[in-house]
Amino acid sequence: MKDDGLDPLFERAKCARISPIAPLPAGFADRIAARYQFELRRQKTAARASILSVSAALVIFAAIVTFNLNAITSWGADDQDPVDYVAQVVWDSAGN
Amino acid sequence: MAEDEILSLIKRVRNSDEAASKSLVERMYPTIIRIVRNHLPRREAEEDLCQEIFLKLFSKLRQFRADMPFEHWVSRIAVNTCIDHLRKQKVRPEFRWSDFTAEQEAMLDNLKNSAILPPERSPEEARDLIDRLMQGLKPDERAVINWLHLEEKSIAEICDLTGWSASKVKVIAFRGRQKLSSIVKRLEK
Repeated sequence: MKDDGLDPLFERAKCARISPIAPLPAGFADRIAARYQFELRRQKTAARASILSVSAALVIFAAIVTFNLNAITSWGADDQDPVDYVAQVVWDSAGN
Repeated sequence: MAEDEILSLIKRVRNSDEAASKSLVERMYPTIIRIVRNHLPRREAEEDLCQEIFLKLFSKLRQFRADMPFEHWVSRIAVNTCIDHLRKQKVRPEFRWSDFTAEQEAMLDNLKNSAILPPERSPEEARDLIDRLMQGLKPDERAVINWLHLEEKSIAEICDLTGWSASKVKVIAFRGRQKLSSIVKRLEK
């Protein structure tokens, strides 16, 4: 790309005075450090909240599973056919 | 400050030490502001961009593995944030002859005709002209042209600064320079 004629312009621009780097603005470091600390606290709170919600979800899930297991294990006794029950009450074991 | 000192500072920052965070900002500010200035020729929102870079730096600090100098790692974050910032702006100005100063018009005349700049041409005007013309380039092209032709960085140094491969840097530089040349050619009185 040396024949594009831009080299003299670059050469001249390189001699331009570079403005000195301004010192750190007052309070800039404090602002950044404070925002970072705030961000850390926010992340910790969010993590805690998500742990709590997962725990709550697990407790609810465990309660539902336990309730359903109880229902399944006691199914035979409670769900006796009412016709059989009436027959047992009305008739004695000998069928009288 | 030696790399060991920086590493111990980073360790303290990771443990939420606010004083260490401030020291790290003070230590890295010159590196970051230099990169920001080179990417923002019009000096707009310099401090905001610096702040954005520092917050990104702190949020990614746990990812720093010390497999490269910390300053290189910081430079990569700063460069990528600046390039993203310029991409968001999406400014592709149309250049008109009348937008340039009389001195810049004379320089453009010289470039279009003889490619020789008379010695009386001001370096500051030349720098400003290049900054204006480079607004027509993509952010990554602008950055590479700036490093390569104005800051005289080597390809290897640019690779360190950006994390890009040498061939990518060369391709970007070639395209950028071609575009810059065509911008100058397209300019008409």
